[in-house]
Amino acid sequence: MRVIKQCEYCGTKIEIDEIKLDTHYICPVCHSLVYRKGQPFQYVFFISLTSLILFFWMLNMPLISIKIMGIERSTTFISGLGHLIESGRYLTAFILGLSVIVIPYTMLILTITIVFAVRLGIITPFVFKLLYLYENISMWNMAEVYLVGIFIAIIKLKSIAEISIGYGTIVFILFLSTFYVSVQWFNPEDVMFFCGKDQCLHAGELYYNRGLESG
Amino acid sequence: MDRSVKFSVFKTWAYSLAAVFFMLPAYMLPMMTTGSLGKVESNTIFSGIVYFFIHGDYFVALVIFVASILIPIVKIVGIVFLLLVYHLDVEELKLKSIYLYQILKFIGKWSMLDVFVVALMSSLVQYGFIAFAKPGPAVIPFALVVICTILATKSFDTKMYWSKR
Repeated sequence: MRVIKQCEYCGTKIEIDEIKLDTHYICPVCHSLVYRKGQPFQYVFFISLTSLILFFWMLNMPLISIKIMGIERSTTFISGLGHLIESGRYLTAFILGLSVIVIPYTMLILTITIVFAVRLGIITPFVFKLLYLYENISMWNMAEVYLVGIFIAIIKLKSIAEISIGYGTIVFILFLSTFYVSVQWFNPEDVMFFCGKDQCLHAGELYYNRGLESG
Repeated sequence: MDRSVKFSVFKTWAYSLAAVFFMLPAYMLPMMTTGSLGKVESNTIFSGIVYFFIHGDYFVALVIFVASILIPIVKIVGIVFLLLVYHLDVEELKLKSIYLYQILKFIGKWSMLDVFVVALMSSLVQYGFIAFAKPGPAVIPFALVVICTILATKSFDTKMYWSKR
């Protein structure tokens, strides 16, 4: 299948005769990555589903426990957010909740919905709207930053308290691993390969005009 | 010039200036207030780094310095550089600017690290008089610095470099 792709950084149009799964396509002008074919959608579906299960599992599990003068306290994603809200730090709670919980969750739900719809042959303008949403919110996902934050907090607190890493952190690492694989495997542009040129123009005109043409 | 290009340049300048504006309270006000047995201490980002450095926690000091001071400053200077390359139409720097743009896009969110650490610590260290930690007034301006720099990067389009032709 012949594909014409526009480099998102310098605008150069590149023609690819046949897309290969194991090949990265680089812009000859600015050397940016132009196109990398994602994995088959059934793989994407199952890894995203695994990630979603881990996501719900980790929410209420203790991330870190600390002990000061024999009194033990632990924090989970939910209790941490709850504490911020209770203490009136609404904006901090909003930023944390959005970038660490809501965005990764929405990305997974969108991936599953899009992949499922496309496999069933449902390629409508709504599916392309979901694709746009996926691409626009992905930059606000900061779950991996939060994981590094957990380790920094442990190092900071170890001088004043007894610290133990909870199961929640381990599940969080597993979640992040599967989530990262899901993001790497799912290339939203691959949806274009499931529709003909007319269908693409009808359902995802903006997507089509942006530079990816299949034929 | 295309109106959308003009608007994109305007938005990038606006977000960059907003980030610079929020930097002042973010670095001047306390990021976290801690207390232990009645002794209360407030630390700004910079004094926090100095504290960890003096106490031998070089790794934590380095990570916070990189995430909270170096990255936001590099991002703002980098975005202004990208904008100047556009305005001055420096042909030989256009392709190099694309690499810089990709780096800025990648490092953007890592500045949020300190905000998350403060949020985590404040939910953990809640022992009343014995020990407590709570977010300081710098948390919000600092988060806004990070958000503004991410939005500035997002609104900049490197394809604009070739739109003047």
